Amino acid sequence: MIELKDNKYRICYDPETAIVICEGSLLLNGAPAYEPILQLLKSAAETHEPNGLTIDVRSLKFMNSSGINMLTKFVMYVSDIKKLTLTITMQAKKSIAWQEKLCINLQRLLPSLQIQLFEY
Amino acid sequence: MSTEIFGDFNDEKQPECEEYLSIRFSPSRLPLKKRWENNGLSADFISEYFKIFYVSRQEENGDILNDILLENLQNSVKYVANELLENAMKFQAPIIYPTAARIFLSLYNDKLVFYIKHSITAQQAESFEIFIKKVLENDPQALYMEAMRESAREENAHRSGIGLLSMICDYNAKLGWKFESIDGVPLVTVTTMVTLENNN
Repeated sequence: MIELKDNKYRICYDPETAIVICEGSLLLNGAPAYEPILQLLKSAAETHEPNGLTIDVRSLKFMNSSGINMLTKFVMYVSDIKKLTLTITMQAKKSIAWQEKLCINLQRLLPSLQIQLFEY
Repeated sequence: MSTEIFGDFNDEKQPECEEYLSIRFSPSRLPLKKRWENNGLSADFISEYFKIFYVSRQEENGDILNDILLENLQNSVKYVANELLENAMKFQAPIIYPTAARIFLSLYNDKLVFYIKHSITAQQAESFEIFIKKVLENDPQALYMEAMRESAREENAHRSGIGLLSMICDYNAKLGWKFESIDGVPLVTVTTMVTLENNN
Protein backbone atom coordinates (compact mmCIF):
# COMPACT_ATOMS: atom_id res chain seq x y z
CA MET A 1 0.00 0.00 0.00
CA ILE A 2 1.38 3.39 -1.01
CA GLU A 3 -0.13 6.48 0.57
CA LEU A 4 0.24 10.20 -0.07
CA LYS A 5 -1.56 12.49 2.35
CA ASP A 6 -1.75 15.71 4.30
CA ASN A 7 -4.44 17.03 6.65
CA LYS A 8 -6.87 17.66 3.75
CA TYR A 9 -6.47 14.69 1.39
CA ARG A 10 -5.38 11.07 1.13
CA ILE A 11 -4.33 9.18 -2.01
CA CYS A 12 -4.09 5.47 -1.39
CA TYR A 13 -2.73 3.03 -3.97
CA ASP A 14 -3.08 -0.69 -3.43
CA PRO A 15 -0.86 -2.63 -5.91
CA GLU A 16 -2.68 -5.88 -5.03
CA THR A 17 -6.09 -4.68 -6.21
CA ALA A 18 -4.80 -2.07 -8.71
CA ILE A 19 -7.04 0.60 -7.16
CA VAL A 20 -6.12 4.20 -6.32
CA ILE A 21 -8.55 5.79 -3.87
CA CYS A 22 -8.67 9.60 -3.65
CA GLU A 23 -10.25 11.18 -0.56
CA GLY A 24 -10.76 14.64 0.90
CA SER A 25 -10.02 17.97 -0.79
CA LEU A 26 -7.24 18.55 -3.30
CA LEU A 27 -6.38 22.25 -3.27
CA LEU A 28 -2.65 22.07 -3.94
CA ASN A 29 -0.69 24.96 -5.40
CA GLY A 30 -0.01 24.28 -9.08
CA ALA A 31 1.72 21.52 -11.02
CA PRO A 32 4.82 21.15 -8.78
CA ALA A 33 2.68 20.39 -5.71
CA TYR A 34 0.72 17.74 -7.66
CA GLU A 35 3.87 16.09 -9.04
CA PRO A 36 4.08 13.28 -6.39
CA ILE A 37 0.45 12.26 -7.07
CA LEU A 38 1.07 12.36 -10.84
CA GLN A 39 4.19 10.20 -10.44
CA LEU A 40 2.25 7.70 -8.31
CA LEU A 41 -0.48 7.39 -10.98
CA LYS A 42 2.04 7.06 -13.84
CA SER A 43 4.00 4.34 -12.11
CA ALA A 44 0.79 2.51 -11.10
CA ALA A 45 -0.39 2.57 -14.75
CA GLU A 46 2.95 1.20 -15.96
CA THR A 47 2.89 -1.53 -13.30
CA HIS A 48 -0.58 -2.71 -14.25
CA GLU A 49 -0.16 -2.69 -18.03
CA PRO A 50 -1.66 -4.56 -19.90
CA ASN A 51 -4.38 -5.18 -17.31
CA GLY A 52 -6.16 -2.27 -15.73
CA LEU A 53 -6.05 0.45 -13.09
CA THR A 54 -9.04 1.88 -11.21
CA ILE A 55 -9.12 5.41 -9.86
CA ASP A 56 -11.87 5.88 -7.29
CA VAL A 57 -12.76 9.56 -6.71
CA ARG A 58 -16.11 8.94 -4.95
CA SER A 59 -14.79 10.24 -1.63
CA LEU A 60 -13.05 13.22 -3.20
CA LYS A 61 -15.03 16.23 -2.04
CA PHE A 62 -13.25 18.95 -3.97
CA MET A 63 -10.50 19.48 -6.50
CA ASN A 64 -9.10 22.71 -7.94
CA SER A 65 -8.19 23.25 -11.60
CA SER A 66 -4.55 22.29 -10.95
CA GLY A 67 -5.91 18.91 -9.86
CA ILE A 68 -7.90 18.62 -13.09
CA ASN A 69 -4.70 19.54 -14.90
CA MET A 70 -2.79 16.77 -13.10
CA LEU A 71 -5.37 14.12 -14.07
CA THR A 72 -5.30 15.47 -17.63
CA LYS A 73 -1.54 15.03 -17.70
CA PHE A 74 -2.00 11.49 -16.42
CA VAL A 75 -4.49 10.42 -19.11
CA MET A 76 -2.38 12.12 -21.81
CA TYR A 77 0.64 10.19 -20.51
CA VAL A 78 -1.30 6.94 -20.86
CA SER A 79 -2.90 7.71 -24.24
CA ASP A 80 -0.41 9.89 -26.07
CA ILE A 81 3.02 9.95 -24.50
CA LYS A 82 3.55 6.30 -23.48
CA LYS A 83 0.65 4.79 -25.44
CA LEU A 84 0.02 2.31 -22.63
CA THR A 85 -2.38 -0.50 -23.43
CA LEU A 86 -4.25 -0.78 -20.18
CA THR A 87 -7.83 0.07 -19.25
CA ILE A 88 -8.21 3.00 -16.89
CA THR A 89 -11.48 2.96 -14.96
CA MET A 90 -12.77 6.03 -13.12
CA GLN A 91 -15.25 5.48 -10.32
CA ALA A 92 -17.37 8.51 -9.41
CA LYS A 93 -20.63 9.38 -7.64
CA LYS A 94 -23.68 9.95 -9.80
CA SER A 95 -24.96 12.71 -7.54
CA ILE A 96 -21.78 14.81 -7.68
CA ALA A 97 -21.97 16.81 -10.91
CA TRP A 98 -18.28 17.81 -11.06
CA GLN A 99 -17.11 14.20 -10.71
CA GLU A 100 -19.19 13.11 -13.69
CA LYS A 101 -18.01 16.09 -15.78
CA LEU A 102 -14.40 15.34 -14.88
CA CYS A 103 -14.79 11.71 -16.05
CA ILE A 104 -16.40 12.80 -19.33
CA ASN A 105 -13.64 15.37 -20.00
CA LEU A 106 -10.95 12.77 -19.31
CA GLN A 107 -12.73 10.29 -21.57
CA ARG A 108 -12.55 12.83 -24.41
CA LEU A 109 -8.77 12.70 -24.07
CA LEU A 110 -8.63 8.94 -23.48
CA PRO A 111 -11.58 7.34 -25.35
CA SER A 112 -10.87 3.90 -23.84
CA LEU A 113 -11.44 5.28 -20.31
CA GLN A 114 -14.21 3.39 -18.51
CA ILE A 115 -16.57 5.40 -16.31
CA GLN A 116 -18.43 3.73 -13.43
CA LEU A 117 -21.02 5.96 -11.74
CA PHE A 118 -22.27 4.84 -8.34
CA GLU A 119 -25.37 5.87 -6.40
CA TYR A 120 -23.31 6.22 -3.24
CA MET B 1 -7.27 56.74 -16.89
CA SER B 2 -8.32 54.18 -19.47
CA THR B 3 -10.86 51.37 -19.14
CA GLU B 4 -11.43 48.35 -21.34
CA ILE B 5 -14.33 45.89 -21.02
CA PHE B 6 -14.41 42.30 -22.33
CA GLY B 7 -17.18 39.67 -22.31
CA ASP B 8 -20.22 39.72 -19.99
CA PHE B 9 -19.33 42.55 -17.64
CA ASN B 10 -21.56 44.92 -15.64
CA ASP B 11 -20.44 47.19 -12.87
CA GLU B 12 -20.60 46.03 -9.28
CA LYS B 13 -23.32 48.34 -8.00
CA GLN B 14 -26.58 46.80 -9.12
CA PRO B 15 -29.65 48.03 -7.21
CA GLU B 16 -31.58 44.75 -7.35
CA CYS B 17 -28.80 42.87 -5.55
CA GLU B 18 -30.38 41.27 -2.48
CA GLU B 19 -27.31 40.63 -0.38
CA TYR B 20 -23.60 40.73 -0.79
CA LEU B 21 -20.42 39.60 0.86
CA SER B 22 -17.03 41.17 0.38
CA ILE B 23 -13.62 39.94 1.54
CA ARG B 24 -10.54 42.06 1.16
CA PHE B 25 -6.96 40.80 1.29
CA SER B 26 -4.25 43.27 2.18
CA PRO B 27 -0.83 42.82 0.63
CA SER B 28 1.09 40.35 2.65
CA ARG B 29 4.76 39.70 2.99
CA LEU B 30 4.06 36.05 3.74
CA PRO B 31 5.22 33.80 0.94
CA LEU B 32 2.56 32.63 -1.49
CA LYS B 33 2.92 29.06 -0.23
CA LYS B 34 1.89 30.09 3.29
CA ARG B 35 -1.03 32.17 2.06
CA TRP B 36 -2.29 29.44 -0.29
CA GLU B 37 -4.43 27.74 2.34
CA ASN B 38 -6.44 30.96 2.79
CA ASN B 39 -7.91 30.50 -0.69
CA GLY B 40 -9.66 27.26 0.25
CA LEU B 41 -10.74 28.64 3.63
CA SER B 42 -12.24 31.77 2.06
CA ALA B 43 -13.92 29.73 -0.68
CA ASP B 44 -15.45 27.47 2.01
CA PHE B 45 -16.67 30.52 3.93
CA ILE B 46 -18.25 32.01 0.79
CA SER B 47 -20.01 28.73 -0.07
CA GLU B 48 -21.33 28.38 3.53
CA TYR B 49 -22.59 31.98 3.38
CA PHE B 50 -24.36 31.15 0.13
CA LYS B 51 -25.91 28.02 1.70
CA ILE B 52 -27.55 29.97 4.55
CA PHE B 53 -29.00 32.47 2.07
CA TYR B 54 -30.19 29.74 -0.29
CA VAL B 55 -31.77 27.54 2.43
CA SER B 56 -33.63 30.42 4.07
CA ARG B 57 -35.00 31.56 0.71
CA GLN B 58 -36.18 28.02 -0.07
CA GLU B 59 -37.95 27.94 3.32
CA GLU B 60 -39.58 31.34 2.72
CA ASN B 61 -40.89 30.14 -0.63
CA GLY B 62 -42.15 26.87 0.91
CA ASP B 63 -39.92 24.85 -1.47
CA ILE B 64 -38.63 21.40 -0.54
CA LEU B 65 -34.88 21.47 -0.08
CA ASN B 66 -33.03 19.24 -2.50
CA ASP B 67 -29.84 18.22 -0.69
CA ILE B 68 -28.09 16.96 -3.83
CA LEU B 69 -28.85 20.17 -5.73
CA LEU B 70 -27.67 22.25 -2.77
CA GLU B 71 -24.43 20.25 -2.51
CA ASN B 72 -23.74 20.77 -6.22
CA LEU B 73 -24.56 24.49 -6.03
CA GLN B 74 -22.26 24.88 -3.04
CA ASN B 75 -19.52 23.08 -4.90
CA SER B 76 -19.94 25.43 -7.88
CA VAL B 77 -19.68 28.45 -5.56
CA LYS B 78 -16.60 27.03 -3.87
CA TYR B 79 -14.95 26.12 -7.17
CA VAL B 80 -15.46 29.56 -8.73
CA ALA B 81 -14.44 31.44 -5.56
CA ASN B 82 -11.33 29.28 -5.11
CA GLU B 83 -10.21 29.60 -8.75
CA LEU B 84 -10.68 33.38 -8.69
CA LEU B 85 -8.71 33.67 -5.45
CA GLU B 86 -5.94 31.35 -6.68
CA ASN B 87 -5.59 33.45 -9.85
CA ALA B 88 -5.52 36.70 -7.85
CA MET B 89 -2.75 35.28 -5.65
CA LYS B 90 -0.74 33.84 -8.55
CA PHE B 91 -0.94 36.90 -10.77
CA GLN B 92 -0.34 40.01 -8.77
CA ALA B 93 1.75 43.13 -8.84
CA PRO B 94 5.05 43.08 -6.92
CA ILE B 95 4.78 43.76 -3.21
CA ILE B 96 6.35 47.24 -3.58
CA TYR B 97 2.95 48.42 -4.87
CA PRO B 98 0.52 48.30 -1.93
CA THR B 99 -2.64 47.12 -3.67
CA ALA B 100 -5.27 44.89 -2.09
CA ALA B 101 -7.25 42.09 -3.70
CA ARG B 102 -10.99 41.95 -3.10
CA ILE B 103 -13.59 39.27 -3.78
CA PHE B 104 -17.24 40.27 -3.84
CA LEU B 105 -20.26 37.96 -4.06
CA SER B 106 -23.69 39.38 -4.97
CA LEU B 107 -26.70 37.17 -4.35
CA TYR B 108 -29.79 37.57 -6.52
CA ASN B 109 -32.97 35.52 -6.71
CA ASP B 110 -31.96 33.92 -9.99
CA LYS B 111 -28.19 34.21 -10.10
CA LEU B 112 -24.92 34.68 -8.24
CA VAL B 113 -22.35 37.18 -9.35
CA PHE B 114 -18.70 37.11 -8.28
CA TYR B 115 -16.26 39.95 -8.76
CA ILE B 116 -12.59 39.74 -8.03
CA LYS B 117 -10.47 42.84 -8.28
CA HIS B 118 -6.68 42.83 -8.15
CA SER B 119 -3.70 44.59 -9.67
CA ILE B 120 -1.23 43.01 -12.06
CA THR B 121 1.75 44.28 -14.02
CA ALA B 122 1.28 45.77 -17.50
CA GLN B 123 3.11 42.76 -18.94
CA GLN B 124 0.80 40.28 -17.16
CA ALA B 125 -2.21 42.31 -18.34
CA GLU B 126 -1.04 42.10 -21.94
CA SER B 127 -0.81 38.29 -21.97
CA PHE B 128 -4.09 37.99 -20.04
CA GLU B 129 -5.82 40.19 -22.65
CA ILE B 130 -4.55 37.94 -25.45
CA PHE B 131 -5.97 34.91 -23.61
CA ILE B 132 -9.35 36.64 -23.02
CA LYS B 133 -9.69 37.59 -26.69
CA LYS B 134 -8.93 34.00 -27.67
CA VAL B 135 -11.69 32.77 -25.31
CA LEU B 136 -14.22 35.28 -26.65
CA GLU B 137 -13.46 34.62 -30.31
CA ASN B 138 -13.36 30.80 -30.21
CA ASP B 139 -15.48 27.88 -29.03
CA PRO B 140 -14.66 27.54 -25.28
CA GLN B 141 -15.19 23.77 -25.30
CA ALA B 142 -12.65 23.31 -28.11
CA LEU B 143 -10.22 25.66 -26.32
CA TYR B 144 -10.70 23.74 -23.05
CA MET B 145 -9.75 20.45 -24.71
CA GLU B 146 -6.82 22.15 -26.49
CA ALA B 147 -5.62 23.68 -23.19
CA MET B 148 -5.78 20.24 -21.55
CA ARG B 149 -3.78 18.63 -24.35
CA GLU B 150 -1.20 21.42 -24.40
CA SER B 151 -0.71 21.58 -20.65
CA ALA B 152 0.05 17.85 -20.63
CA ARG B 153 3.01 18.48 -22.92
CA GLU B 154 4.32 21.68 -21.35
CA GLU B 155 5.86 21.27 -17.94
CA ASN B 156 4.48 23.69 -15.34
CA ALA B 157 2.59 25.87 -17.82
CA HIS B 158 2.00 29.07 -15.87
CA ARG B 159 -1.25 30.24 -17.45
CA SER B 160 -2.98 27.25 -18.95
CA GLY B 161 -6.39 28.92 -18.65
CA ILE B 162 -7.92 25.59 -17.56
CA GLY B 163 -9.42 27.19 -14.44
CA LEU B 164 -11.31 29.90 -16.33
CA LEU B 165 -12.28 27.56 -19.18
CA SER B 166 -13.60 24.94 -16.73
CA MET B 167 -15.87 27.61 -15.17
CA ILE B 168 -17.38 28.28 -18.61
CA CYS B 169 -17.54 24.66 -19.82
CA ASP B 170 -18.22 22.67 -16.62
CA TYR B 171 -20.20 25.23 -14.59
CA ASN B 172 -21.96 27.19 -17.39
CA ALA B 173 -20.49 30.42 -16.00
CA LYS B 174 -20.53 33.69 -17.91
CA LEU B 175 -17.28 35.64 -17.66
CA GLY B 176 -16.42 39.29 -18.16
CA TRP B 177 -13.46 41.52 -17.39
CA LYS B 178 -12.66 45.18 -16.78
CA PHE B 179 -9.09 46.44 -17.20
CA GLU B 180 -8.30 49.86 -15.68
CA SER B 181 -5.01 51.67 -15.95
CA ILE B 182 -3.72 55.10 -14.98
CA ASP B 183 -1.16 56.93 -17.11
CA GLY B 184 2.32 56.72 -15.67
CA VAL B 185 1.48 53.83 -13.27
CA PRO B 186 2.93 50.46 -14.36
CA LEU B 187 -0.07 48.55 -12.96
CA VAL B 188 -3.38 47.41 -14.39
CA THR B 189 -6.36 46.76 -12.12
CA VAL B 190 -8.37 43.81 -13.40
CA THR B 191 -11.90 43.02 -12.27
CA THR B 192 -13.15 39.58 -13.29
CA MET B 193 -16.91 39.07 -13.17
CA VAL B 194 -18.37 35.55 -13.05
CA THR B 195 -22.13 34.94 -13.27
CA LEU B 196 -23.67 31.61 -12.24
CA GLU B 197 -27.35 31.15 -13.03
CA ASN B 198 -29.23 29.38 -10.20
CA ASN B 199 -30.90 26.91 -12.53
CA ASN B 200 -27.62 25.20 -13.42
